[in-house]
Amino acid sequence: MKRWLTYSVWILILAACARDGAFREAGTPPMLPDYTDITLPVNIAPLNFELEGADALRLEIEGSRPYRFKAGGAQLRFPMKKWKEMLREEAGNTLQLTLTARFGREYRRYAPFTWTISPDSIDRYLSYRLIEPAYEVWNVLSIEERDLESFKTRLLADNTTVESTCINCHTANRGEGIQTSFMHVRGAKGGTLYSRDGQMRKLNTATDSTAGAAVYGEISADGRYGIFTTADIRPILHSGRFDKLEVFDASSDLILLDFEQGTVTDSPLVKGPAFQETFPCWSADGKTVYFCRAAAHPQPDSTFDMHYDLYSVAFDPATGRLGDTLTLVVDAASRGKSISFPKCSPDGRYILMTVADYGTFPIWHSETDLWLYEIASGALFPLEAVNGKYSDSYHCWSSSGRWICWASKRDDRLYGKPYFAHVGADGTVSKPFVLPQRDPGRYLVTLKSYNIPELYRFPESYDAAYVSRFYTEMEAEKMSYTK
Amino acid sequence: MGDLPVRLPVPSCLSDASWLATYFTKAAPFSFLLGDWLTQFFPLPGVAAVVTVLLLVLAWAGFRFLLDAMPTVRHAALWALLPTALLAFLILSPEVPLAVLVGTCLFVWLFAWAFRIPGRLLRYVVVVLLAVLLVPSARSFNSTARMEKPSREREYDYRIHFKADAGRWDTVEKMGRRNPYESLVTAYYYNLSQARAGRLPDGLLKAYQPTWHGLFIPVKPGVEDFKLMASTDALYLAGDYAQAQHSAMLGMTFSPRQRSAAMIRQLADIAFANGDYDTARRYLTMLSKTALYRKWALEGLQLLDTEADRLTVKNDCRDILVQHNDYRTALANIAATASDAKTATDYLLCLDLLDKDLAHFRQDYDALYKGRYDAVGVPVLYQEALLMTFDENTSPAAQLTEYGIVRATLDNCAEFLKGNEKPFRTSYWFYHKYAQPAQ
Repeated sequence: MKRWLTYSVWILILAACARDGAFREAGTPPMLPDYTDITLPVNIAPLNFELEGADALRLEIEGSRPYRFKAGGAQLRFPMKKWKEMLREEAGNTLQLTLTARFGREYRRYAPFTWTISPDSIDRYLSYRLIEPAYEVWNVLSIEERDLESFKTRLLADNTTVESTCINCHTANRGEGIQTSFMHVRGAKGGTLYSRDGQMRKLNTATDSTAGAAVYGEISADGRYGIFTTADIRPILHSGRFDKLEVFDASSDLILLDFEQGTVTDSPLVKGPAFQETFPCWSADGKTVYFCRAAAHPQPDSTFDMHYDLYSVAFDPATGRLGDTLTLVVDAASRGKSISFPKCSPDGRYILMTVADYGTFPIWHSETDLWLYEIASGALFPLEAVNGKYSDSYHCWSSSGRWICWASKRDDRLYGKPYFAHVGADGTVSKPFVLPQRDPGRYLVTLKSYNIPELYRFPESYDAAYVSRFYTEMEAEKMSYTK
Repeated sequence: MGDLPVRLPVPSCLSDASWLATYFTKAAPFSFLLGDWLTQFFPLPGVAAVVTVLLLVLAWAGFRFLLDAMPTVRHAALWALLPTALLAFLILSPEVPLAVLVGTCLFVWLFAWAFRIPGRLLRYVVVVLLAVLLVPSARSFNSTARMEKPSREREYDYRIHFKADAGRWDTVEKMGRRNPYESLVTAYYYNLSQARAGRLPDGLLKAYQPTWHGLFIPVKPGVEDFKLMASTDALYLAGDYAQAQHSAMLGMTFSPRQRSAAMIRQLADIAFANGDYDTARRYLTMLSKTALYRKWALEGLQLLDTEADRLTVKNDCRDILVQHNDYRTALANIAATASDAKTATDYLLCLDLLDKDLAHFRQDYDALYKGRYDAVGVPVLYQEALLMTFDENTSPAAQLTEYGIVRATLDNCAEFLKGNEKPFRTSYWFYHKYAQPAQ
């Protein structure tokens, strides 16, 4: 007993000595991920972070009242209940955060930073495709649904259960109507999976009169129509230092799907070999289709010369017909640029797009950035606040139009991660932050790229097991062509 | 048993919870985790044999222990040899993961323990419980283990691969010259040993050549993951970093659990060659969490932190678009535009020659080799091929002088044309006359 007491006293003395270590002020905390000076939605999951090499962390937060979080290692993982309480109480406030870290016997207190808690909540669900950035070949890929208010994920599709075929483009409609979404499953028994109000259909969108099955596209807000590309997509390698892969369309047209009538239609304005049309999207009111268009040249010889402009064509939801004139919205070619993935904001004010130096598929282009087009004024500008060092692409809007999410390869050029930024009423965009993970070191060890992030309001009604059964057992409905 | 069993190494990131957690999303996590962890050390000399034998002994002891628990069984030690021998036969197939052996050991020892529990009811409950828990895991091995007949050729290929990986190029050259199974992979590593030494044309026809397939391993659906991984080396050496990266990425994608440490290391090397240091840092950070590559990765990270500005970027060729497996276009571009392109040029010329494409050979030689690399003499292989391309209407003497053809080559050619072919079995003329496309 005496010996035990002696040991205990010595341990206490040593511990006390350790607390007297050197103390110094430091600059911005090198936290991973970088969550300094950001705006976050009131309903986001805890922004767990890591400070490499730290032995202990203490985070002091000044808001309407003080909050204090501690961790006995390099990772700070916020308790879910306390985190949610804090966000709820501080909605609309800007918090001051001070991080102190212990490295051995040295303490570092970092410069304070802020978190602005936006009362604009973000759509609760995010889907993304997890895939190795392995060019044109896939081995194991899946589409996951993540609950943004927690760390829960579930599989929407897994290609190991559908004959290892490719799965892509899980996309939901915008607006307040019934949530409708689609996802393409390729392969012999594949088709476009169209999900609406808990019901799923498998559609064969290829017809004898159109160039192929539906590829990139969007569903109208009411879920009835879909505007898609049919594209002959081909990958090819770059021999240079930085760009890895080029993807070009040997040909591409637009098609319009009426899911209610089961028909496919098109227009001479958006098909034919003279021009390539791709990446169509609906305007907020559903009366205009925006898309990218370039004069066709033989590829890959002329791929470096392919510049896609932004065009629009009217759409009449009553008749389901495209208009008979095209309008040039943004002349990117004259700027030596090329536009991809236009996406209209739900409030109808903006079109968010990616801009690269050339070509149609910019996710591998290091120079690819997000640009915003203000429809009323015609102003077009890069989103300096959010664009990273490398490719920023595959973006989407939240249903409120107050948040954008996209896949950014800013950290290592190769692996995409979902980033979010707040869009203010005046169009200002906040500093982005990455999708929080329970283990903040997860991004450093995963060999999967987060691809095509998509925000939506309600959880999907199906899962990977259902998709697998549907793929195997269900015949695809053949859609018919109508002029 | 020789060097068997050899397996492609996979990493285990011991210090990372996220990484380890991925094992628990599939069946038999402990078996695969321990199996993968042990497998990563297999390229080290002797480790494969020692680990496998120890696990087999453990399995035998487990079977014996299990049989001992059954009162009707006599000579348990002998009977235990039967399943152990079956297990040994199974594990000889390189496609069967070590997890099968690890899992069997766990399985057998747990059952052996369960059978010895005193009290009949409790014993039955535990045995049934174990069966319910473990049998589905055992079934999962079916989906990962593709049992194949042990192949001496495959064994030889794996051995040469690991010799190359260990930098024992003299041994690689010797094994490549023998190439007893006329293996494509062995020919490939032999050529790699020659190219590394700067004597690809000199050594090319001194060993078996499955036409040009011994120079590069095409990346296409259905190619074994081992060949996919090996395909990166020649591309990297030739300076074709784009296709090397493509191969390495696919090698990793198709490796067990998509996480080959060897491929991550290749990708880090390629990123360094490209001067793509952010990507290199990403891979080095991952490797710093592995047991086998930790030291190498930490040195690389330190290099990036302190000397990134002074590192040499190897890839300075013109950026063009090239289809994968289109070696001619890629090599011609590197040979024409990169500053250090001797190896790429040799690979290109040898590709032409092994493909018996003399027109392209002459065109490439004139454009890319002549005047750049022929000052110290022209390799005999090229001289032999050049003689076959000479213009009949131009003065032979002038062409001989212009292309640096030595007297001995000319005499040998005359001798060969007279029908005395036997002494010239390693000449290009012999190859051109008799080589058939590889099966």
